Amino acid sequence: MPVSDIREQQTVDSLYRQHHDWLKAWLYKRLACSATAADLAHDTFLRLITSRQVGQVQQPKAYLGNIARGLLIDRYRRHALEQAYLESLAALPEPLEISSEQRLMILETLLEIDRMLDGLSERTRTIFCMTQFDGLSYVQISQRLNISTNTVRKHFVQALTQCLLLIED
Amino acid sequence: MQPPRPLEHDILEAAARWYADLHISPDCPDTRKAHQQWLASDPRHRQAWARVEKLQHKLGILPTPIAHPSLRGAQLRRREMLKLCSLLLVGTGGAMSAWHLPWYDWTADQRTATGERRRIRLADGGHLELNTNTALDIRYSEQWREIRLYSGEIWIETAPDSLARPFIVNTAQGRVQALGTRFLVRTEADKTSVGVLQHRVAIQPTALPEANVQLEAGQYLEFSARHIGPIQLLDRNADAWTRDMLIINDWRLGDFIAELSRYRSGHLSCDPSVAELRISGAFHLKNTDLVLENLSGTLPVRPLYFTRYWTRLVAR
Repeated sequence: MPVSDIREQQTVDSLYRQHHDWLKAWLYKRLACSATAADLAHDTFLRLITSRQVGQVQQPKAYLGNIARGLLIDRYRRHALEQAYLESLAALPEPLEISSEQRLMILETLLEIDRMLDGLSERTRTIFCMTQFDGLSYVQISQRLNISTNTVRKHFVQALTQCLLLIED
Repeated sequence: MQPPRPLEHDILEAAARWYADLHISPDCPDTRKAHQQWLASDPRHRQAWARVEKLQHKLGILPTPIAHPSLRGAQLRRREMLKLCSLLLVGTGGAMSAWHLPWYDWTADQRTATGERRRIRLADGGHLELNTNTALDIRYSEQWREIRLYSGEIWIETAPDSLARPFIVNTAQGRVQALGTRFLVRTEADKTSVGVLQHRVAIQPTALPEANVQLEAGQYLEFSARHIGPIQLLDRNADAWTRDMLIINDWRLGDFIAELSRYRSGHLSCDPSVAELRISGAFHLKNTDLVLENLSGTLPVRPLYFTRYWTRLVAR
């Protein structure tokens, strides 16, 4: 094992010893479920190790807290999407045949699209969805939202650009 | 997500504009030709366009009728959860008590199923009425007459006790002690609500051992383990469920449907577009199907039955 790796290993060990309990308690407070808190605390350290930036960590609490917060938000996002997906499915007038394999793929894709659209305004998100999923033309959207077709196009291009920036090659 | 890409923002935006134009006029030969020229003029343009195609493919995976509602619903939920999150921070905080463990519901002495109501005569001559989905233990000892309410709602009429033992109802959030009396207790995930029909009760949340709020006849309040809400007037029809009725005055339709769903197996929800409508009336809890059907007589709504267990109220 190269010296740098050994040093990194030691840093992780000491970070873990010093901060794991605190981190677990922090997560527990936000989740009120100890098994999930333990899982997420574990994932946080895993992220830290794979990030290969262990040596540069200056403020471990803030750094770990940031990773953990990201994981927590991700968890909420997934949960919210799954619930919303089930509700949308239930609201359909005709049942939709979806295999469990398809279901998984749909959920993962929804999650990905949802992340891409993050940070865009409500209106931009809506316009993107209206063009892509509801099959509405710019003219129809402009009438519904009472804005010009040019503005509709602008919002659409903005949403699309953000997706293209975030999608992997 | 990956860190920033080598592809510049401007090129991706140009690709987005091409997509936007082709999207409205896919068959226009001039647009197509100009697009082809743009692609051929720079390998980075082709690289950007490959991303467009990838995105298109992803979007194509999603069934169109549920994609938009799912994404919108998820965002609404996230907002709700942020609120819940901050509540959790100031709320429970402490260790998870045995009260929260789900198996307590299953081993309880007495329980009612969804839509079921049951009356029990207590050993001392008092009465207990269990509303839908209620689970409790009855523990009479030398010192106490105790009801442990794990979930649901009860109506209680206490009887004088020859041993003068206090009568108490414990929930996950705290203790309600009868001071000679008739009252209602309902427990939910994070709160207990109490309504007094006769005489008084004393309330003591778990985490506030010093607190001792007394509630009089005709009053109502909600409390959590750490917080006692304001004293309010008790709705005079709050105990209508003991007669299998729900009597309400000027409620949000969304709240009404949430209340009705307690009495109904499966999933019952209300489309946000009609949730703000107002509703008043007396409804029979024994036939919620009929209640839902009849709603369309007074409100611009109709029930949508997805399966036997999934019902949603939508705009007519």
